[in-house]
Amino acid sequence: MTPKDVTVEISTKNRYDILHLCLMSIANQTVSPKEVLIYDDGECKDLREEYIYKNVFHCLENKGINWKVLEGAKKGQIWNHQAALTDSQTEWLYRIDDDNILEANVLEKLLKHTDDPKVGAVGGSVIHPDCLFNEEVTSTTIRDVHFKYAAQFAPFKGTKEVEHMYSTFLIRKSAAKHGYPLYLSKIAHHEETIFTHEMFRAGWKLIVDGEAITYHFRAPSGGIRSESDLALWDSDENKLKEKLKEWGINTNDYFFMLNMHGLGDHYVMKGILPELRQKYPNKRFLIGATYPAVFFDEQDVEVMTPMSLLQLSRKPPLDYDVYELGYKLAWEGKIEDLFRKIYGLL
Amino acid sequence: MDYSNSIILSLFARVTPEGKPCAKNYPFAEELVRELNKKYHTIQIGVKGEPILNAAETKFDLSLPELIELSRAARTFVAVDNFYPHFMNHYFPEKRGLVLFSQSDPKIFGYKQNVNLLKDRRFLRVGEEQFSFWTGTICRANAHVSYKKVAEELERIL
Repeated sequence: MTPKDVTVEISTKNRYDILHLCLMSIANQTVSPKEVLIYDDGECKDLREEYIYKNVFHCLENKGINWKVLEGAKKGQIWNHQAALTDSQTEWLYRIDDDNILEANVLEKLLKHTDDPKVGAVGGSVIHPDCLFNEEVTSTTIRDVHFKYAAQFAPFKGTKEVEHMYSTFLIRKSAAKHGYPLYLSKIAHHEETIFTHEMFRAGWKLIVDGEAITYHFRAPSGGIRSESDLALWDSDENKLKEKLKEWGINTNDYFFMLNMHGLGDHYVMKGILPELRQKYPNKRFLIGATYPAVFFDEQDVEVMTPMSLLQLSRKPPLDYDVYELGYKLAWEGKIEDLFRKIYGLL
Repeated sequence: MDYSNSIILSLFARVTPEGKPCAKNYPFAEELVRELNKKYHTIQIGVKGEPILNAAETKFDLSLPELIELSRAARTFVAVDNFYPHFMNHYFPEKRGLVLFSQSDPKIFGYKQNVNLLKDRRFLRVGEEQFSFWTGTICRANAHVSYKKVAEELERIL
């Protein structure tokens, strides 16, 4: 095996309707992987009987790509990712979700970053075509894990060094000796965060190439969507919090504010910041503003577009709208008191 | 330049989303400026595209730091219910200015340190309409105080 040979590993569960798109995007890579390992955690159909898959497998073979379909551990994807660390024969292992579709040059772009012996993992941008994210809602630091999206959620020019990864990325196996957090539930929420941050803590570099684009179709069924028990998500969330505590990491706590009105309204809102700082001394302020320049002299405030703020806060815009509230209440008091009401000061 | 005796004028509000003049605009702006120019050094601030009023100086599209410095240096201001009184309340709440109201309510949008001139409360948009968009609201000249009254009130402030 030559040093840069790559094994692709895919854990899949009852997503036969989309898995072939993923596999074809692998077959169409400008630089081919050596092998594809498919861990089937679902029905374990013999896909060679399906005409689409029969042709997909031939496409892989015609490109010199070996492939195997293995019966998964059926304990959740994380057990399959762990198995791939030993099943694969190459130093580089490329984990791809079964609903990821790669642009043709992704593997080629990722491999360019593997010459650096300190690189433990390399990923590209993972774009959700039905919900585009702006770079400003992402963060490279694990301190933002509860409020912002990982750096891979939005495309950008160039590369970034990050503290954790998301979804799909290329792993150097010698950086993965700590293994996956198998103590998580079968949905393994935050498994990539914990797995890759351990690499970071061990001194490995994690790189994101913003121009290596993978599309994440977020299949509505199959995979972890087969699980409806919200307690599993909560349990994994708590395990992440325990891990953060163990690592001595205090995550950033944000206070969201939004103003989509006029310039004067922005100044009124700016006027209540001192009171909010007093009430929430440990919070960082994230403001979605149509007039961002108003906050140029506020040191501890991060300003972004209103749409980005709404993507992070996941609340409807009317929840922040003083004019909507004023109209509803037929308000006769001061406008600044309406802002105080919206933001919990009154 | 020494602006310590200057009066900043901000007599137009943002155009409506349809690109029409806002009903909060002062309809006697030209007459007012002519009157004030007799005694004061006037500076019109605003954005490109607004009517130019022949103030002693016209300063459009100032950056916020520039506007802060100019406002710090000037003696006082005359503004409609636009961004400027809110801006001044934030940066210079000790400065007393003159704010010209017509259909918006100074009890809601005004500040106690200013002289909030309202001709008559019967011209106000009713109740919850204070919080509606200004689209479709017509400027009613008779809802505004006269320019002579504005000049008199300014004299009283100074």
